[in-house]
This record gives sequence, C-alpha cells and structure tokens, in this order.
Amino acid sequence: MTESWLRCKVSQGQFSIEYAVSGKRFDGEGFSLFAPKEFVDTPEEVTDETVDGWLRVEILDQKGDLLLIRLPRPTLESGQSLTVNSVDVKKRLVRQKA
Amino acid sequence: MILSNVEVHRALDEGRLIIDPEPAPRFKDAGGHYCPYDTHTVDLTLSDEISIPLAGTYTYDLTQEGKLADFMKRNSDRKRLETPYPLERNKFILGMTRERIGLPMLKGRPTCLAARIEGKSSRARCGVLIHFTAPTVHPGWDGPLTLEIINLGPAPFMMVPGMPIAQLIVEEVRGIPAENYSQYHGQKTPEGITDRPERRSAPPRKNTSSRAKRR
Repeated sequence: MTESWLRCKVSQGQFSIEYAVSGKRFDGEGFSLFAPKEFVDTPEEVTDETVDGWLRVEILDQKGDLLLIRLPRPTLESGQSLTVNSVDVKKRLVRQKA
Repeated sequence: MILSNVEVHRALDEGRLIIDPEPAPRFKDAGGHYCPYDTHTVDLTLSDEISIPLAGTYTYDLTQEGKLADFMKRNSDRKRLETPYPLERNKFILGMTRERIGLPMLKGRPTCLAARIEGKSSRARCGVLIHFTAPTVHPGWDGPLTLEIINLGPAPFMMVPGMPIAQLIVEEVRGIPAENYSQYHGQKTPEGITDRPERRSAPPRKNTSSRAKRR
C-alpha cells in the first residue's frame, strides 16, 4: 500500500493538535489549511518558524503531470480538492498491519 | 431525517457515528444524574485548549491565497486552560470540543450521516454564542469540532474545561455523496483545468460553487 504526500510549508497551528500548512497549486497560486498533525510530516521540529514538510493527501485523478488531490481538511481559500503538479507529490510505501 | 437518541445510540454501536470519548450515561437513572443525551441531541464538552485572536491593526485579507492559516496563527495566542477562563464581554475566541467526531462513509451502506452543532439554551441566555455560521459537519469528517465563541452578554462568562458547551444533532443523508470536485473552481478532473481560461471569460455559472463549511 502506498501513501501520497504533497510538498508543503508547515508552521504551528492555532491548536496543539494541528499545523498551519501551505502549498502551491499547479498554476502557482497558493492555498493554506489547518491540518491535523497526523497528516503532516516534517524532517525537522516545527517551532515558531515555517519549515518544509509533507502533507498526506489522497489522489483522486491523474492526467499527465497533473494530479487532482483531496486534502485532509478544507483549505481556507477554496475547497478540499485541488490540482497540483505531480513533481510536488511523492509516494511512500506503507507496510500494512498484519 | 434527524436521529433520535435511540438511533444515535444505534449509530454509535454500529460504527456509523463516532464520538470519542463516548458521552455517558445513555439514559438518566433514578438518581437524576446528568445525561448528555436529550431526545435528539447529544452534548459535547469544551476541551482544555482555546485560541485567542489578538487585537491589533491587521486585516484579514482572504485574497492572500496560501498565507491565511499561518497569518491566523501568528495573530492568535494558544492557551491551555488549567483553571476556568473568564470570557469577557465582546471577546471572541476559538474553542474545540473535547470529543472527536467521526462520520465515516461505510462501504455497502445506502446512507451515511451528517451532523450540525448547535449551542445550548443556558449559554445563549447568558449571551454567549458557541458557534456561528459554520455548524455543518460533513459526511466523512473525522476530528474534534472547532467552536467560534463570542460573549455578547452583559457580563463575563466562565469557560470551564469539560463543561457541556454545545449539542450535536445527527442526520441521515440519503445516498452516499459523490466527491464534490465543484467546490474547487468547478473542475471535475485534472483535465478540467485545460478549459479554465474559457471558464474565466464565460459568464458566471449558477449553482456551481458550494464551498465546504469550515470547522
């Protein structure tokens, strides 16, 4: 089983269970949302500064280099499904629990 | 159709509705202890963390795409409630339910559940709004609910962690919803974006923008 992760920027959220996450759509426009921490992965600890990270997403459709994805929460700008460039998404193999 | 307390219990038992921790007891006993279930509602309680937007000279600008979440965080303070918090008059804060709410869309079932969060009359009589403009909990949601709380009353109101703060009304959705891609710029597939410039120049379409309620 694979998981899909979208490149993003991460900072602290308004509540301790969430992060503020921002990213880019296929056309370079930005989006942001508050995502539960379990959907976010960062190589370094999130402090007061914004850090690079990854947001777990669901891929709904693909055409060429474009992916239609569903985010774990609605964005503050417009909806929960959006199109991104495939270079901004990485797959990760996940072992299923026995 | 709104679920009665008996149907809410059934939905909890069947895993169609998750409220974690589950409110208890399910029915009042002869001792008259508090029961979080009313005829067709279930009380939710206040968590021990709030977010306090800072007063300042800044402006919320929803056209600043990609920066809103971080902007909101930077202009708010997070506070852990170790003691009751007096919510002053005309003060606005964000709260959260202690309970995680889950409305899974289960395979093989012809229906799913949605919900609405509402205030409680006792809090309303004090002038306190527990949520405004965003009561909807969509099918598929999983997480605690954010509360937009403001005190419009004549006196401070004590916010006590664990206090019943809101009530949940659970409804059955007939059928399983399709993914609403239209909530994002009307596109239905990645290829939908190829005609985006045309769409921009075309007259606005009716009934296409159903923005998700945000919790």
